[in-house]
Amino acid sequence: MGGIPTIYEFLAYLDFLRGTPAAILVLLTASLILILPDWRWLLLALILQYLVVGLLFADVLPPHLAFMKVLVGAFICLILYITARQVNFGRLPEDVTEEEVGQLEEERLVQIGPYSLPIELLFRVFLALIVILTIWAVSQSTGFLLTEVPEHVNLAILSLTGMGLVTFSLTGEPLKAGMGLLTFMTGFELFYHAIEHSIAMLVVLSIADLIIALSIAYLMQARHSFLAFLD
Amino acid sequence: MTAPFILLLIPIGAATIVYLLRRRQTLAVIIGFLAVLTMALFTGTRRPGGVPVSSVGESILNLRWEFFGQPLILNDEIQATLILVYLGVGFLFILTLPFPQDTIFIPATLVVLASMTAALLAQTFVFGSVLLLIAAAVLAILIQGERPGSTLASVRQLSLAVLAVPFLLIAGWMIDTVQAQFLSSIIFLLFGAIVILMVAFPFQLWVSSTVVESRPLVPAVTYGLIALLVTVFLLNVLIANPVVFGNSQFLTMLRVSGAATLIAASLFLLTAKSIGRLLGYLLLLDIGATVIALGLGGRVALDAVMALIVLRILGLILAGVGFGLIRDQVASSLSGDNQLDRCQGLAWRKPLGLALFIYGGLSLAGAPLTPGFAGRWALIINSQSPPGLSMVILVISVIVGVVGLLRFLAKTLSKKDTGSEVEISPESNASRIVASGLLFLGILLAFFPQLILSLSRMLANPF
Repeated sequence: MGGIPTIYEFLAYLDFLRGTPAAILVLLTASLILILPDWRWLLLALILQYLVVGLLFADVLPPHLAFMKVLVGAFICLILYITARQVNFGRLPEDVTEEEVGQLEEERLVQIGPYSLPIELLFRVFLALIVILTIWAVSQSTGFLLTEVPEHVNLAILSLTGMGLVTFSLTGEPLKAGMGLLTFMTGFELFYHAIEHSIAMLVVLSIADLIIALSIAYLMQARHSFLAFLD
Repeated sequence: MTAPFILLLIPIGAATIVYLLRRRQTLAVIIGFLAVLTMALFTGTRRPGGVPVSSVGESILNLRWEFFGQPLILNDEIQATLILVYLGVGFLFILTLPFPQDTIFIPATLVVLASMTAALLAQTFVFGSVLLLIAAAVLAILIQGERPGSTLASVRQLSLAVLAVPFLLIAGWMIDTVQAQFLSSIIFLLFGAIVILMVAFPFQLWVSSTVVESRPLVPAVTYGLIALLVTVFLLNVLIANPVVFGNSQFLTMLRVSGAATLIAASLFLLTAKSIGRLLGYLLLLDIGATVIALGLGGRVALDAVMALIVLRILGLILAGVGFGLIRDQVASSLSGDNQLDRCQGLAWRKPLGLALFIYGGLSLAGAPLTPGFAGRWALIINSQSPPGLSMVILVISVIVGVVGLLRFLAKTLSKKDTGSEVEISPESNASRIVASGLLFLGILLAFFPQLILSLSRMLANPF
C-alpha cells in the first residue's frame, strides 16, 4: 500500500489512453516536432512522445521491455535537454549586442490580421497538415496495412516514420533533424519489435538510439557554440 | 576472455585513454597506434582454417563471444580485411604527427573501428546492421571534429545511416523467415541499403560536403578504410544470399546506380568551384566505379570491388595530405568562398602539396600512370564483352576527371597575383619528407600495381 506502482498498475491507470488515442497522440507529438521552432517545446513534445509510445510498445512487447524503451527515451531527452541548456536553447548568446544581431539574417514574417508569424512556421504547419492527411489516407488503405501489428499501432508507425522522415529532410539544424531521426527510429522500432522479439536486438537498438542522441548533442554543441556564432 | 571481446575492448579502452590525453598529441598517437597494432597482431595470430596460434594462450583465443545470445565470431573471411584496416588506421595515426588533425580524430576513429569490427564479427546480419548504425553515429562526430559552425555533412551522414538500417533489418527479417514470395521486395531493400551505405546515386550529394567540412585525413577513414569494412559487410550479406547476388535485375540496378553516380560526379566536377568539392567529386567517380564493379556480380565483382577500394584508400591518403597542405592557402573560410579563383600561383607557393593533391586526385579518377588506373583496368577487362554502356560511361568519366584536375592545375600555374593576403605557412621538414615519401610510394605503386592488386586479391579470396 502506498509504494511505487508496478508497471502493470501504471498501464491500468493509463488504460483510457491505450489503443487509438495513443496513436493519435503520437501523430500529434510528431507533428509538433515538425512544426515548433522553440527548443523547449520541442523537448517537451519529444518526452511526451516517448511516454505515449511506451503504451504502444506495451501492445507489441512484454510490459517490462516496453518500460525499458520509455526509460531509454527519457535518457535521450535528458541528454538533449542538458545540451540544449548549455547552448542557451539555440538562441543567441545573452551578451550579444544589438549591432551584432543586426548582422544576422532577419526572419521573414507574414502578417495575418493582427499577428506577425514567421513564414517558415506557416510552411511547416501546411506541410504537417498534408503529411497528416497522407498518413490518415494510407492507414485506411488495406494495401498499406502492416498485418503483423494491430491497426492503431499501424497508424502510430506510419505517423512516426512519416513525420520523422519529413522533419529530418527539411533541416540541417542538429536538434530538429536529430529529433526527426529519433522519431523515425521510434516508428521503425515499433514495427520491428512487433515482428522480431529478440532481446539482443532490443538492447542493441536502444544502445544505438542513445549513441545517436549523444552524436546529436555533440553536433548541437558544434553548431551553436559561441565560435560558430562568430563564423 | 574471448577474441571478439578483446577486439572490442582494446579500441574502446584506448579511445578512452586517448580522449583523456588528447592535448598531448604524441602520446595520443603512440597509444592509438599501439592499440591498432595490437589488434592487428591479435587478429593475425590465427592460422588459416581457424586454428589459433597458442602463443597467446588457448583460453584467451576462444574465437566466439555471445552478446545476449547473438554470436560474434572471428572467422577467416574477415581476418585479412581486419588486419589491413587496423594497419591502415595505424598508418593514418602516424600521419597525424606531421599533419595534425583534430584531437577527437584518434579516439573517434578507434570507437568507429570497434563498432565496425563488431558488425563484421556478428553472425546475423540484422544484428550487424545495428552495430553499423552505431559506427555511423560516431562517424558523424569524426566528420565534424572540433570545428564549430556548419554541421550539415555530419547530420546528413547520420541521417543516411539511420535510413539504411530499416532496409537491412526488414530484408533480414524477410530472409530469415524465408518469405520467398517477397524476393522482389528483398532485392529492392538490399539495393536501397547498398546505395545508401556506399553513397551512390541518388544518395551521392553529401560526399562533397563531407570532404569540404571535415579535416583532410577524415575522408580516408570514412570513404576509405571504413568503407572497406562496410563493403565487406555488404558482400557477406550478398554472398549469403545468392538468390539476390545472382539476380540480373538486382545487378542491373547496381550498374545503373553506379553509372548515374559517374554522370552526376562528372557534371559536378566540371563546374566545381572549390578544391574540397573537386576532391569530393573525384571521390564520387571512384564510388561510382565501385558500384558498377559490384553490379558485375560473382567472383569478378569481388576482385574488382576489393581492388578499387584498396586503391581508393591510397588515393584518398595522397589527395588528403596534399589537400591539408594547400587548403590554408586558398581559403579564409571553409565554405562560401570561390577557392578555385584563389589558386593562382599556388603551384609556385606549395608545389609538393599541390603535386600530392593532383596525383591523388588523378588516382581517384583512375587516370593512367597512377595507382587508381589498375582498379579501372581490372574493372574494364573483367566486364562482359562487348562492353556495356556503363563501361563507356566509366571511360568517359576518367577523361572528365583528368580534365577537371587539369583545369585546376592550369589555374595554379598562372603567376598572376590575386591580391590574396594569405600568408604562406612554412612546412616542417618532417611534413616535407613524409609528403615526398607518400608521393614516391604512389608513383611506385602505379608502376608496380601487382603489389596492391595481390593484396586486394588476398582480401577477396576468402569469399
